[in-house]
Amino acid sequence: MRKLPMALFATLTAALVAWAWPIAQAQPKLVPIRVAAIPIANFTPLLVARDQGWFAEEGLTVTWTMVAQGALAVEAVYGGSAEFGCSAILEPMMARGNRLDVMLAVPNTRIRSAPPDNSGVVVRDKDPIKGVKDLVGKRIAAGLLNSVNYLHIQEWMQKQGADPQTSQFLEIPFPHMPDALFQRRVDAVWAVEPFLTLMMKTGNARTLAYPYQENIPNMDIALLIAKESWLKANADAARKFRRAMDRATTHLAETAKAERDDWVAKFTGVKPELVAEVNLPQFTTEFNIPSLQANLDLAVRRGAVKPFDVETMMWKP
Amino acid sequence: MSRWTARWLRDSRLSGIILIGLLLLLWQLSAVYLVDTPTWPPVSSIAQAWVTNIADGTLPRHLLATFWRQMLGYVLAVIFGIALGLAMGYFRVLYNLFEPLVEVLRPIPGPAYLPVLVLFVGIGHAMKVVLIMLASFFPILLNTYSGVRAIDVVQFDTARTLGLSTLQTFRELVMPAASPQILTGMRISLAISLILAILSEMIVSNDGLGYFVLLGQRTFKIPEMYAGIWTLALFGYVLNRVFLLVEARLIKWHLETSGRG
Repeated sequence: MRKLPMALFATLTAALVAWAWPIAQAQPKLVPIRVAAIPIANFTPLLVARDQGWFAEEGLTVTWTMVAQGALAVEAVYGGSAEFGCSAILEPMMARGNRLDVMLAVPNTRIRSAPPDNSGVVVRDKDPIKGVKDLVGKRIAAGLLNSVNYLHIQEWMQKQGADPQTSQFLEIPFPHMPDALFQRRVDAVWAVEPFLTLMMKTGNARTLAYPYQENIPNMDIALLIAKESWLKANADAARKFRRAMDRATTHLAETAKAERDDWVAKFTGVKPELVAEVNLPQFTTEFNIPSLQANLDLAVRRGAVKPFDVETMMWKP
Repeated sequence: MSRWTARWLRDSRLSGIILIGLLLLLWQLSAVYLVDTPTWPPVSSIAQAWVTNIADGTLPRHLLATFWRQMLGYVLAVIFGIALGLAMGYFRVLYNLFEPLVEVLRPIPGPAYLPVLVLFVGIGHAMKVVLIMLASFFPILLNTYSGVRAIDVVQFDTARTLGLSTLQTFRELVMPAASPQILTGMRISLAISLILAILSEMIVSNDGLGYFVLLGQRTFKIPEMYAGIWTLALFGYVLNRVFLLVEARLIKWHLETSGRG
């Protein structure tokens, strides 16, 4: 009699498996896509596409791991631990210039078309620094050395007749820049949102310039990359990923500000009330290829990368 | 100073706790009355953020993520470090073979491996575990083979005279004699493993205390950032205390003879 419940249990289990197995096999398998992401507002379309079900509609299951910077995303893609990587525009170009087969795969964001921009050079409000020539001999923090900010500020200074070699550039993380500026450890910082807005709100800082807008107007600033060999072998999955991302990017660009801010707050973890005050970049589904070439040429002039044609790294879906 | 006070300061651990309390009070007063910046919040705000993030499960979740990664990397380092250390300490041939390589690799700081590991191991949990293991491995290895090589040669001769096999020699002589130094290496590596766990989470992760602290910094939730740092401090303290308890059990004889028991 004791054996009866066990036999019944075993039979029911077997029947359940026999019933469910064909159903499970018949379900279309979702293609897994891994993304090395950076938790900044630019890459919010990832969250939108996932939560709106657009990745699933394309037959994809997309997951992401947060990395600290674009160079790590490039490494992850090149090493094969991610199919797509989020990055600013310059790191993939440097990688390509050093013979890593990375491609610019998915457009993402541009700088704002008119001031105020998503980032800018900030000085203390009461300081006598009024123009670029006042930055000669000063200490400036512009993010990582050889980053897109660093190269652009040098280009901007040079175009306006100031020798950037006379200034001292320090690597200070963006969250530390407000304190570094107000404690007089540096004289100018290239701040990005939300730290740019936070500094303005103190009343002790003012924006000196938006060098991106002055150097290369309307330029692409962030995008997603993929490995060339992977794109060739998985062109269908790549196109589906791009379609879902373009859909999410368009949605973000066209939706009401309140909804856009909500998405950004959710993706970045920044408080919604702060997101509502910052200047977000422009979301776009088209590459501005001339601006990408112009940035590559700028990087070549600055000695950061060997020259090549940017078209060779544009993925055509 | 009275004799009672001097005896109390010498014998009681409460003085250390009182010192910490005074420093926190100083922090609170400075944040409220002296320093006006969001990056130096009052202790009361941090405590509130800490309680909120404990109660809603956020900090425990991130702590658990750090804990299992750290422990996995650490345990692997212990296994490989002790095994190779014993072999190098006992067999001269292996010592001559591996010692130059160890001396070349040992000075490389753990974080320097990160770019290579991202490329070849990836950006998932495995990369972080391997990084922790690599950084924690060398102190254990060095202390193990130093402990073995410090054993008096006469004791090995005695073991041979008494007819002990190699395995018996390891079990009855080498392990007990070298264990204080092995445990010293393990204790050093325990701290290193936590440091590398946090560092790797700050660079590549979706969870863990390192990620939580960096997220607080990046999103300007400063009290939460400090709450994460407090949790780290507490976690490190508890880990160390547990280790000391285990050490006291394992080498009680050594602690007693050295006056620490």
